[in-house]
Amino acid sequence: MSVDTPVARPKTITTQLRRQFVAAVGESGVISEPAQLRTYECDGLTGYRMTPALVVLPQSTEEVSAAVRLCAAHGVPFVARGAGTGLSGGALPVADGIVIGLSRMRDVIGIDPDNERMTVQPGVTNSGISVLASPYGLYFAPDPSSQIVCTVGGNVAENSGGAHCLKYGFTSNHVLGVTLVTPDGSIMHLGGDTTDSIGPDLLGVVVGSEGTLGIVTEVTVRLLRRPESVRTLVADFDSVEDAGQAVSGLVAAGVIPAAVEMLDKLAIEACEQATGAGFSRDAAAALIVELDGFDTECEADFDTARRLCESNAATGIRIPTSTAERALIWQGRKSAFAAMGRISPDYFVQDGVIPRSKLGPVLTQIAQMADDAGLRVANVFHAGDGNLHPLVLYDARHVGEAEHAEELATAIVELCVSSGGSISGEHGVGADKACSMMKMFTPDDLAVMKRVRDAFDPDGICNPGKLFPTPRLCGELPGPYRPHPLETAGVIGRG
Amino acid sequence: MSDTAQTEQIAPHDLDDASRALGEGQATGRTVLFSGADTKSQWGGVVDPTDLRISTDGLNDLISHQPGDMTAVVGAGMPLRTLQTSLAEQGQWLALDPATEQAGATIGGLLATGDAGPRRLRYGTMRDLAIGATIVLADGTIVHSGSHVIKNVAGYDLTKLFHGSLGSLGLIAEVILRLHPLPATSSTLRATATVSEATIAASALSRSGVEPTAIEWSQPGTGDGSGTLLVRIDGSASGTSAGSSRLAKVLSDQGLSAHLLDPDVADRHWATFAEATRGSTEETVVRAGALPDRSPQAIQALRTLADEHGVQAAVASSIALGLHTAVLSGSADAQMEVADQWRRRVETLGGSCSLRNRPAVVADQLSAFGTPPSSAPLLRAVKHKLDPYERCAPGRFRGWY
Repeated sequence: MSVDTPVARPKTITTQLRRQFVAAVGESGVISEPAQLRTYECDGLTGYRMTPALVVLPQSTEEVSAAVRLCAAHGVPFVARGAGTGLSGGALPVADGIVIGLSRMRDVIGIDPDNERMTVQPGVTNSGISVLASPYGLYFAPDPSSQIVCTVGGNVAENSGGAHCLKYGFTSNHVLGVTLVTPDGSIMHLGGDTTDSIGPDLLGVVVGSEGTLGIVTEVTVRLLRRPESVRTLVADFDSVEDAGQAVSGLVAAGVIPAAVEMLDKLAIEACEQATGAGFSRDAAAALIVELDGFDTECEADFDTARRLCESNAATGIRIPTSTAERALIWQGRKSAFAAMGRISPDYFVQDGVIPRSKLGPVLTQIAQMADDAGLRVANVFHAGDGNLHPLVLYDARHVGEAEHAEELATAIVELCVSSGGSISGEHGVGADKACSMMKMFTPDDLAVMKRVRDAFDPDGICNPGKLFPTPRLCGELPGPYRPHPLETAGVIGRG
Repeated sequence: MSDTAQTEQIAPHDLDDASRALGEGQATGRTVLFSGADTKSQWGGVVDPTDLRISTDGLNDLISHQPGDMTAVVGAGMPLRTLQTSLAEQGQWLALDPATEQAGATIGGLLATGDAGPRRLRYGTMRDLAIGATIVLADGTIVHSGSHVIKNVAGYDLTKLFHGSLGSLGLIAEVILRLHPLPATSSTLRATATVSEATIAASALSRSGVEPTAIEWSQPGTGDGSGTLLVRIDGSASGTSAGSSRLAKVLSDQGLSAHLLDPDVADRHWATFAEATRGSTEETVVRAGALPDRSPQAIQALRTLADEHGVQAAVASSIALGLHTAVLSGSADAQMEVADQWRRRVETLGGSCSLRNRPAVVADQLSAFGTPPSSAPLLRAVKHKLDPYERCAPGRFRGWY
């Protein structure tokens, strides 16, 4: 798009109101040039785009509060944004609204190694926390594939997890407290120094609320001790069903790996083309199994895992012999989404979850649905917790194929729900799946969630149009998935 | 207590029954108290007399157990110990060991109160273990939250909202639980330590590379400052053997002499520890929480206050987490004074306190919670949206909402 294309200045942001935002966050913290505004027109879900009326970049809780108070006073909707790596359109701007970008809020408020916690502003990256904690032998467990650039504020908003949720839990389990600016501009603290907060757990509701309940301006996270021992293996199988059986075997044996990831043949092919991580192209499916913890326990579980893969028809097992080889395996896995470009010009990505015991049947059904649709579906996912990322491959140059592919992608996520699962395991609902909420929840369920939202945001100005189904969203198609430039460059991954 | 002779008592047997019972009361504004096994009915503020008492006794089924998914769906009224017996047949358990288990604590009550035991260090509380719930609101609306999968970010996590709500927002009717494999073995080490020694030791144990399941410290109401440190490790036989040896070495390096307990002896110690958190009808139980490294200051403050007022204060602490349960004995006035002043001291340390079981005279005169948090306006707003006529457990959070 040409940089000098004019963008109509929404009437909501008058010159006088712009001056007030400048007074709140400083001249350098206000973006109103049309070309610059377009930087903020979408997040990682690039199919939805909306140029905001104004972007403000506060540097403190007080500045966020001041900006939100102006929004509240003038009825201007606002959307908080971190690094913009979200995949569900959660940071999609609102027409005539402002974006409150938190990228300048990267201060570390405090590191408390004795109590194994750290307090940071929301613009600190996920992996940045672990880097800062590393000298103390500590780390931050949630690890979304975009962790090098995604921010902890976004993690909190989306409750975005990653590969190691199975053993260590989700972002929600690792956030001890937040400072929240509510949609009227009030500043309050949820959670905090006490492990057992008193009263209903508002913090637990705010985490994963997709920026619809306020703006988190400080986050206190729980840090974990680096595990003493980490063991990883890659097991090849002749079918995804065999691989699924091996995962079930692990569960039945009482082994809880730190991570269990699965790639099917298409995903392996794409990963190998992109990274040369050493996955076997002959395999129909590969499992990455990682165990960690106390060395004696870890060794015992690793032996069990290896034995169970063998007894569940693994055709080969590779055990990395160096840290570099292990890192390459994970780079291969985390680059899987971006790698799809090697084998297909376009694709849709899904984020459904199914009960683990249904992995085999559901994957078989997805393959059948793909055959019926005449399309290819690659699968790369978190097998341990049932979080699927089916990638529906298509070629937009063929008339009607994009629509056909999207229908298949939707049918797959609905299959996840009818199998007892969820429409999202980590990407969030956002603008992308708001309409699918009706597949998972009853009107009463949604109405009660809306009551909770109203308690926080009675005027509906805080990231409106996300999470809840609306006629507008449900009438639009998000368009094809386009990888983030950093994905294409192999710097970050997805899912 | 909230019950009066006029209180109608019902025990619905399904969701529709519960919905009808609650919804019918909305028009007339009938107030209601939810109850399970009543093991924690005194926690929090004193509830005003209510018109209706809804028991979860009839909602006590194991609705489903999917061993392959390590999940289960249970009626809120199911006692934890009953559930554990069923799950154990498949080598699984709900990783929770609250002191109230033997008294019949129910799944719904555990979620509503956030009650947990020593092994929360490793496994967390119901906040971490409940992945979904079915709730019935005061107007009879039946609400589902979460799902049967552990990784799920669709919608607001209303299950967490009800964690710690003490029955003030609605009736928890069913809960979806994340399960864990039953540990093959468990080892317990015992050492004698002051609170300062125990605090330092807990930090060293956490750096040891071993992953202890529980680190607890307790001290009787009177004594010379020493207490008992119990450290538990769960896992395979080889893992717990090697792990306990290393933990004993860590404790030794801290100048503490640790002994590996025989399983029967260990069970008795853990039972005694659980008993120490309950208190009698004549005692005041205060739950305090602060940053873990502030434990010595918190406990010293309690000791000083107890001595000043002639009160005995037995303490049981999840020392690695900074959570302390104090049982105060002595005259009711003195208990009240110590509880009140200790709460102020803990708040100056950045922590908070709440009152659990206590004599009626203490309950009548001392508020259950301390200074309202900055989020109190939000709590009030949420309460208003879910229970606009303030029918559920009126008075439970008096002073806050």
